[in-house]
Amino acid sequence: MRKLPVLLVAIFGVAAVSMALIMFKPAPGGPYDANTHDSAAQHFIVKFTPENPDFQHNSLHTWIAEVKTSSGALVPNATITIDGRMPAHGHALPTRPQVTEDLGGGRYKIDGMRFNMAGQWQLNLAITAGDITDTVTFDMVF
Amino acid sequence: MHRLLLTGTLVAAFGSAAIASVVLFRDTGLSDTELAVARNLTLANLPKMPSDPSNAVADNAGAIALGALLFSDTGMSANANVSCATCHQEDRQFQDDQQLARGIGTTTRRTMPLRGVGYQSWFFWDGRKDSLWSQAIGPIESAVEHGFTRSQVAIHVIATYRDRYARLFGSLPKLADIPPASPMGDKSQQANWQDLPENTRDEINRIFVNIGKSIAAFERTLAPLENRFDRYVNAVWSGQTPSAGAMLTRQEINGFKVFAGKGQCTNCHNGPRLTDEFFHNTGLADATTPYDDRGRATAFVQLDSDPFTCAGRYSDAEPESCGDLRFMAREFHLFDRTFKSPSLRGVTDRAPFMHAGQIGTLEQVIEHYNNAFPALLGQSEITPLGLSTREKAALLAFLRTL
Repeated sequence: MRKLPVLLVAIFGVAAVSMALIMFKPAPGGPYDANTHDSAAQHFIVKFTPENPDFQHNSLHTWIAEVKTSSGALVPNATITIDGRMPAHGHALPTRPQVTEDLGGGRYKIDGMRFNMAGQWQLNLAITAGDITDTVTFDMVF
Repeated sequence: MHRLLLTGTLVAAFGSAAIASVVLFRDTGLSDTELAVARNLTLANLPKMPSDPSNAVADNAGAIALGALLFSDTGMSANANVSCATCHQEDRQFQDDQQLARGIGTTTRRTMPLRGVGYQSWFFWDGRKDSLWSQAIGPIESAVEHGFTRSQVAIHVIATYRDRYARLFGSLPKLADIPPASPMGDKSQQANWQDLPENTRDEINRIFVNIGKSIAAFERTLAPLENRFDRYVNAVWSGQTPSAGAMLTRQEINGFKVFAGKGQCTNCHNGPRLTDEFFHNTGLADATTPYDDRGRATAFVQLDSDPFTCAGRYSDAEPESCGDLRFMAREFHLFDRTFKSPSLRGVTDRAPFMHAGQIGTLEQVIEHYNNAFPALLGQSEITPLGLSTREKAALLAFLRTL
C-alpha cells in the first residue's frame, strides 16, 4: 500500500518527461520526403532522390533520377528536363537544373537543384526515351 | 524500500522540472510548429561559411589582413578620399544611411550592408557579379564611386603593399609610366587600355583581381550578429526562461506570427539571414529616374561579358564547379525589375529602405507590402495582405527585435 504513491509519482513523472520530450522534438518531416512515382501516362516508374539527404536550403546540390518502364526494366539513354515550383507561393526554382551525367542502369545525375525556401515544392520531370515522352510530378516538403 | 522512495523522488523531481518547462513553453505563445519556424530564422541555423573555390585566398589570414587595409584605403580613388569604408561604415552595419550611395558622385542604388555577405551567391542588388571578389573590384572603376582605373590600382599596390602582396601572390611586375587605363573607364582611359600590350593588360588584371580576392577574404569575416529574437528563440528552444535581454513582448511574438504567416514575409526573408538570396519584383518605383532600372533582367548580359566571373580565366575554380553560373535562371520576363531580398538583420536601424532607398520608414515599407500595387514594369509577385492596424504594429515591433 505504501508503494502506491511512489508508483503513481513514478508513472506521472515518466508521463511528464515523455510529454516534454514530444513537445521539444524538432518539427517532423526530416530533410526531404522523396518518393517513387508513376509518370502521368504510366510509361515510367521514376525514383527521384537527393544524392545527400542532408542537403541545406539555398545550397546547390545533386539529385538522382532512376527511370524504369512500367514493367520494371531500366530505361537507358533518356532525355530528362526538370523544373520546379512552390504551389503555395507561385514562384519557380531559383535555378535551372540539368542532367549532367548518365550514370548507366537507368540512373541520371541531376545538378543545379536549389531550394530557396522551406516548404512544399513541386518537382516536374519530363522524360523522353525513344519515341515516348511522359511527365512525372513529385510533391515534396523540405 | 528506501531505494524505491529515492527513485520515486528523483523521477518526480525530474517530471516536475519537465512540466515546468512545458508550462514555460506554452507561455511563449508559440506552437510547436511556430517555434520550429522561428528556430529556422535564428543564427543557430546558420551553416558554416561556404567555401569559395574561385578565390584561393578566401580564408587566408594574410589575405584577410591585406583586405582589411585595402577596405579602408582611400588611395584607390580619383580624389584620394573614397574607400570601400566610405559607404560601408563599420559602426553603421557597413552601410551609409544614404538614399543613394555617394563616392566621387552619386550612384543609382542604395549601399548594401555587408554582414554575412560571404554566404551570398550573387552580388549587388541585381546579382551582376557571381563572386565577392569580383563584386569588390566593381566600385573601384565606377566613375561615381572610386573613379579609379585598374592600372592605377596596380601602380598603387606596387608602391604600397609590395611585400604583403608578394607573400600571397608572388612578386609584382614592374609597371612604370602607365597612364590611367581601363576597359571600363572614360574614352581616354579605354584608349590607353587598348594601347597596352596584351601581357601587360593581363598583369594589371591579375593584380586588380588579387586585390578583390583579398578584400573578399576580409569581408567573409564580417559575421551576422546575434539579435534579441535569436536569444529568445534559443532560450525557449532549450527549455530555459529567457533572460531580461532575451525577452520578447506579446506584441513582438504576435508580430513574428504575422511575419511568418499572414504577412508572407518569409516567402523571401527566410533562413538565418532572413533572405532567400534571390530576386523579386514587388512593384517598387525607382528613386530618381522612373522605371529605368530593370534590375536582375539586365545582369545576365553583364555576366556574359564579364572576364571576372567564376568561370573566367582569373578565377581559381574549375569552370564546371561554378554551379551558380552554370545553372542560373535567366529569363528576362521573369526577372524584369527584380532586385535581391536583403537580409533583415538589424533592419530597423537602416533607413531608408529598398534598392534605391525609395521608402523612408519601415511603417511605409509595411504599407507598401500591404497595398501591393501592381508593378509598372514586369510582374509584381506580391498580393494585398489585408493586415489590420494591430497586425501592422505587431509586425513593426517584431522587426525591431531583429
